[in-house]
Amino acid sequence: MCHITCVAPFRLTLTAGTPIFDQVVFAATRAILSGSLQPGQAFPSGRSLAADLKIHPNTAHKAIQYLIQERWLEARPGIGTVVLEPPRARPGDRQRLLNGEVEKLVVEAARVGADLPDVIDAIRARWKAMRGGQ
Amino acid sequence: MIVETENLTKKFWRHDAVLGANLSVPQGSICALVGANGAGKTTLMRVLVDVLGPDEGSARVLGIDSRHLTPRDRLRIGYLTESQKLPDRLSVARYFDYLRALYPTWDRSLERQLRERFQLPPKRPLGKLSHGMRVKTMLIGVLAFRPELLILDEPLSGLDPLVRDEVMAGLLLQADETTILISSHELSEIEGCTTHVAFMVRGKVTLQESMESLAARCRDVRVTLVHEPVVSGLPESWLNPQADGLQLRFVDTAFVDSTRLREQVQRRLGAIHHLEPAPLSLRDISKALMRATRQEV
Repeated sequence: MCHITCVAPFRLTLTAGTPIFDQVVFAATRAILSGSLQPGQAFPSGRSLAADLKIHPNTAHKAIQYLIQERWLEARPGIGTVVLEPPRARPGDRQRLLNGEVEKLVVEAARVGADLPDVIDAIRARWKAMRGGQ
Repeated sequence: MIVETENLTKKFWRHDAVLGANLSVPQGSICALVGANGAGKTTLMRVLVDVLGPDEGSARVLGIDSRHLTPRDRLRIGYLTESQKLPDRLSVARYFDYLRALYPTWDRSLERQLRERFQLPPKRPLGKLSHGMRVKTMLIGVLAFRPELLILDEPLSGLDPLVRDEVMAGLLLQADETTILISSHELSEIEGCTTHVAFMVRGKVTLQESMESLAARCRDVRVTLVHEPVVSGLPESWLNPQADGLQLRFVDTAFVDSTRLREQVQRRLGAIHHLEPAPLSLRDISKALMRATRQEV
């Protein structure tokens, strides 16, 4: 028998050591950027998100509020929450990624003994998985 | 605090006694009550709902002494235990008719929603339900009157993974309005929704804190030293130290950051080749705590 339930449009495999809120926000933004969640599509309610991902409803509500505030989602009265076009980056975001985050990655790569081709291959594979080779 | 026990004691000859437990469950939390079998979890919960009276100390539930809970107060508390007796001859539908009449706060639409979700056979007698269906029936029975406090004793035990998922989903659909105290060995199931953890060892609550702070201060540490370590006189906060040649492994329960940990290790054990602290899941933290307290005996 088939009955309608709202299915969370992304997966969440909990990682120890990272706050669940951060993990949910990351998974949602990833789904929007990769196109698995399309602009205009309905986003699940806090409760059904909590039930699907087995997280506390308050965490789910907070994540949704945050995504609304950051303009990934929009609350439409009477309809629910819908996905928006990915918001534009704030000034400085790009710099922070290309300098700060990349440097962290390089340092970590040196620590675990991965060389440049390994890292570039891994980045390329992730990039493809997410953007479909764009 | 929705639940607060003070020096709570309930003695039994052999098993599951509570020996001076101090437990506090904050409002709105989902508190996991964790501990080895026989640590006293079930007995503590039974005192909270006044199935048992305390020998010493007291328990306050919803601000009321558990011994003075009136039938009306009880309508605000949901209690689910595996060993609960159900009227086996009653059909599922009749059972819900009965509960609906019992609870003035019964929410019919939530009952309908959950029954649809769980696909319970309305005409089947309760005695003929599978274990999974039985638990689902009891869960609707405690959720649909929208209690302020839910006490769930091992609700997931004996359920297959699919039913476990369904039960958790049903529970979380309305958890934002309820405080939940849950005991379970299925820690990976409840990790994502747990806000607080209380740990019981031989009748006492030895630890209670928010999931966040517990996760932040526990690390699985692997060190490669330059000289073979002597595994004695190490800090008490380093649980279950195990050495193998130059390797040392332990669970640090007072972790602040890697730099500080490195200093501590160096001070005690000399130069370090490599040190790696990794975060732990609730399941692994609990295992480490259980192992450490078992060794004390």
